[in-house]
Amino acid sequence: MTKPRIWRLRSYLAALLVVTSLVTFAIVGTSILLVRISQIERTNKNAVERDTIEVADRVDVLLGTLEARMELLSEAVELMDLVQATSILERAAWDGKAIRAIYLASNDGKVLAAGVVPALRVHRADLLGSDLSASPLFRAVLKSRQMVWGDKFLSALSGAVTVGLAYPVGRDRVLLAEVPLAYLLDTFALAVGKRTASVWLVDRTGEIVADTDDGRHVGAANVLNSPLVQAALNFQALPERFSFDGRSFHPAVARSEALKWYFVGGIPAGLENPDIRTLVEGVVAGFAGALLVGLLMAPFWASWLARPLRGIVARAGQITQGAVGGPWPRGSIAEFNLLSADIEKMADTLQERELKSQAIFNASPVPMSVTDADRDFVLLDVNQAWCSAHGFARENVLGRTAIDIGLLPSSEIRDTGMVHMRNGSISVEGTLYRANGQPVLCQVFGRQVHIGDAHLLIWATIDISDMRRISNELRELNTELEDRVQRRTQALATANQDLSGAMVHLRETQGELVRAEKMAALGGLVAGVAHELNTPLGNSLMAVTALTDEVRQFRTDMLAGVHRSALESLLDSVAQATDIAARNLHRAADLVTSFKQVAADQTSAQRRSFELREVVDEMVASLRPSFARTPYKIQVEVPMGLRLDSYPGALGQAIGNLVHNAVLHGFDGRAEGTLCITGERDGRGALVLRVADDGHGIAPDLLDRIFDPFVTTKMGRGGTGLGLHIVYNAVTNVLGGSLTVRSEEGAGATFEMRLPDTAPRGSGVVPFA
Amino acid sequence: MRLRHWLGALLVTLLLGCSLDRPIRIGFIGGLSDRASDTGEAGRNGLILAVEQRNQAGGIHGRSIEIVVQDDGQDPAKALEAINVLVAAKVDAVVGPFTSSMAKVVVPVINQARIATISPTVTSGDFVGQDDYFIRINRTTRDNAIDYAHLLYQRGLRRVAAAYDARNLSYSDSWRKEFQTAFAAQGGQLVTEVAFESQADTGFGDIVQNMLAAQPDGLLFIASAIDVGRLAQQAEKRAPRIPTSASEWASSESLIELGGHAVEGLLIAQSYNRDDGSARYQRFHGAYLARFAREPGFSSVAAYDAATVLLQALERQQRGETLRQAILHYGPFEGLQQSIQFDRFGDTPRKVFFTEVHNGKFVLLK
Repeated sequence: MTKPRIWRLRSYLAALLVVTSLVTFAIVGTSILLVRISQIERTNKNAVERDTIEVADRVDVLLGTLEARMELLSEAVELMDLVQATSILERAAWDGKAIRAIYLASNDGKVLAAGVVPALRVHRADLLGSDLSASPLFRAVLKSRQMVWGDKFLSALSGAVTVGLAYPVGRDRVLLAEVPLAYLLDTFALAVGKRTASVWLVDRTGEIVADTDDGRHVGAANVLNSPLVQAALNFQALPERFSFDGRSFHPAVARSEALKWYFVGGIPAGLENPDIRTLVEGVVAGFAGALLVGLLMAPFWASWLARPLRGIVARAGQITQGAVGGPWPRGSIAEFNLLSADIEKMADTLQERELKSQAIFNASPVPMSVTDADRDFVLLDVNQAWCSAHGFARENVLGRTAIDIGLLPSSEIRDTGMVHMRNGSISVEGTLYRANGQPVLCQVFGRQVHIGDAHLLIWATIDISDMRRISNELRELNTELEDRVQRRTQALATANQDLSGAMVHLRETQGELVRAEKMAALGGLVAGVAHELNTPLGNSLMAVTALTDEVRQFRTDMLAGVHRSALESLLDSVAQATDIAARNLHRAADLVTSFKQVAADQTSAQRRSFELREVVDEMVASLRPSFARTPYKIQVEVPMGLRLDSYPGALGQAIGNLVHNAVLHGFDGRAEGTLCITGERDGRGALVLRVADDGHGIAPDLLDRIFDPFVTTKMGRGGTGLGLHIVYNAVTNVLGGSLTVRSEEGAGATFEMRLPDTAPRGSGVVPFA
Repeated sequence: MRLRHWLGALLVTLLLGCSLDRPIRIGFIGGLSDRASDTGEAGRNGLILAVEQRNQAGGIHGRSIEIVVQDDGQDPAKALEAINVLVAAKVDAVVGPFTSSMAKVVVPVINQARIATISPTVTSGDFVGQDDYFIRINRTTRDNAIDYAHLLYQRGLRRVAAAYDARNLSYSDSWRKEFQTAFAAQGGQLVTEVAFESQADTGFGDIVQNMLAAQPDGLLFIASAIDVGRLAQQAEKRAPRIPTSASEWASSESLIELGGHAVEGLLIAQSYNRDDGSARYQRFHGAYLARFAREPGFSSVAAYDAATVLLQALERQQRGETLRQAILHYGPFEGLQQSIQFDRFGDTPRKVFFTEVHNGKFVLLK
């Protein structure tokens, strides 16, 4: 709960030194005190005991002389008459010092003779005849018939406090002396002499009659019931210590045999005792001295010890304050030097790091500022971007608030931001004012950070006035664009409508073209057929004609004679001519049969199972006349055994068109060319039919769209652009296969059909329908 | 703020601690040396006994009581010094002084210091009806003197010679005057008044001679025991049969010790009954004898009563009340032989017991 107290090193060292010296001194001092005090107390106890007994003995000795005097007086007055006795008594009381008054009394207490100090002598007559019978002293001496010391009492003569001394005189009389208390006190004082112990003279009733403390205790107390006096009265061991008047004493008690009074000695115990007090004072003074010396020396010593460290601390303080440069202190203590070096290294690192973060801060293109949330958001730092964005100089704003410098018209933006702060982040939009008063619309971002005890807010402001303007423009543009798009869409719709019309028209045109092509093909076919038939028919006609001529010649000649030779020649000619005619007519018949077949296949979508080779041969045979007058050759390499269940008409048409295409385009303008028709089953069992030429090949840009309708290089020169399209349709749609083309310009073209053994049902549609 | 609180609490604790732990101090002032020391010492012992008994019983509300003793030496200068010592010692109350002449010196000082002071023995009319801090538990000289006048007249005395101690004039003079008035009212006459100074060299024979010169039929001594003893001795020699009487001041044991046969038949008033057989008094008597190895005297009894009043008042004293108010308000207090109730001036009636000395003893008059 409690924070440990923080010390300065110097104070700490000083305290350590002081405490060390004090503890040392305390231990030594305590030891001295313990040993010496018990010694002193022992000595004191012995001394007070010795002193008290000695005082008692002395007093007894001194009083003994008085007793001897009484005895002498007693003997002297025993045999004298009263006049003589009076004179003796007068002399006894002459100086009044030891004996102030002395009476000779009869056994019934009547004063017979008296001696008094000269001053009172005039009243001596008053004393004679006085009755002493009630006096305790008189009674005591009467009873004991020996030397009796009385208690102190008030003198009937003088009223002064007196101690009585009585002694019998013979059998019938007694001698009573009044001894002034002062005499006893003088005796006591004489006996006491100069002693360290206090001694009281205590009478039988416990009254302190005299003391060695200038009578301070006389009359002030009755000590009869004190444990000390009680112990003495009962002959018990005295208590170790005796307390009186708030002070403590080592007591000793002695008894005066004569007076039956007590001498109570006391030597101050504990600190009351001067020896002990001196000792204690000495030790305390030593302790205080040590403390003083420690307090005086320790700060210097501690200061000297802590100086190198203080240098380091001061240097570190400068670094903390932001001061740079300067050497780090080095001294004569290795550890401090090590510390100094380490801190220097650390400070350098920190400085670099700070420079780096400052550089990063300043490098940021976003205006940034740091404020202290605990101090009314005063600016602690701003970066260069901030200064240039807001037009303030850094040194003019640090330590001031945004409101002070006029950046904010009021704390409203900030307060709004603080209210809507989420997870320590603020994002708020508002108008800030540049140094020249120009308002700038900004997006203000804040982030709360706690660094140590500091509660900072880091702000970033982004000028969003341009962005806002652009966004507005964009919005307008958008609106305009939408209008335009609407207009265009309308135009497009119109165009689309037109196009749709055109498309319909185009379809119609295409249909017409296909029909025309069909007619053309039919025309070609008819021409071909005519051409083919023409030769045998012409040959037959020519043979018949030649025969006719021969016959006519023969008739002529027959007229002239029929020569056998002529007949034989005629017969030869007839034979030759009929042979020729027969052969040519056969041929014509074959041709017609063939045409019939082709026509039947081509015109009807007749599906049947056929041998590929047969269809290819028939097709080639029907085409051969076309090649007859050209330098181009046609090779067929289709093995037998490749059977299909398909549409032979469509296949023939495809082959025919491909051959036509090769002749028309591939070999166009060439002196020679070979067309090769091959058929096989590929590795997967599919039937592959290739029609390859070694002509011009197809231009690459044409290759991709070669199967599209109306794609031709000979538009207007006999090409319809439909030949390959028809092929493509026939192969894919009717035969259910695929058609691909490979070509390199100048290296011929290869069309490859992949045909299923069984054509799909329902596909038997006429390609051009 | 907190520190202040702590300091305050500490101070309060210290003050409370002081007031709780500090013993109650009772000052004593009386004659402890020379001629008046018998009254003083006996009074002091009475106070000591009361206080010691009280301390043994636990003190007052846990506070112990201590006594500060001062000797007035029956000397105004010394008395002034002594009372100032007591004031300086900050005593809570004072018991004493024992004579009117000393009271004259002491009263102004204690009034100024506002210390409640109870005198066990002072009787002088000078202090009667004074609204001050001086409280008496004895009768007044006037009461005594009137009683004496009546009694002496009853006994057939008509011409009385008086000797009085001029050193305690405050007492003796008023006593004498009151007596004279009262006696005259009865029809008696104070034929002569001899003033004397009680000193070592005073010629008591001459004084008695002067008294007898007026042919009195009785002698009256207004003096302390020691002087009365000596005067009685002289009277005995010169007029053995003349009736003697002494004012209550002399009613101590010393009177008999000093007077011997000479005081036989002396009429003297006592402020307490020596023959009281009540358990209360006997307990006191026994305790006193055991404590001091002596018989208690009238000043012992009076001082014991004064101390009792003081201690009981201290016990009953309420917060905010002065001790004087407590003494005046919280009566009656139980004295040894009578209850004590003060009027608003701190005066109280007290019983008186007339005795005659017979065979060395004070014998109560029937």
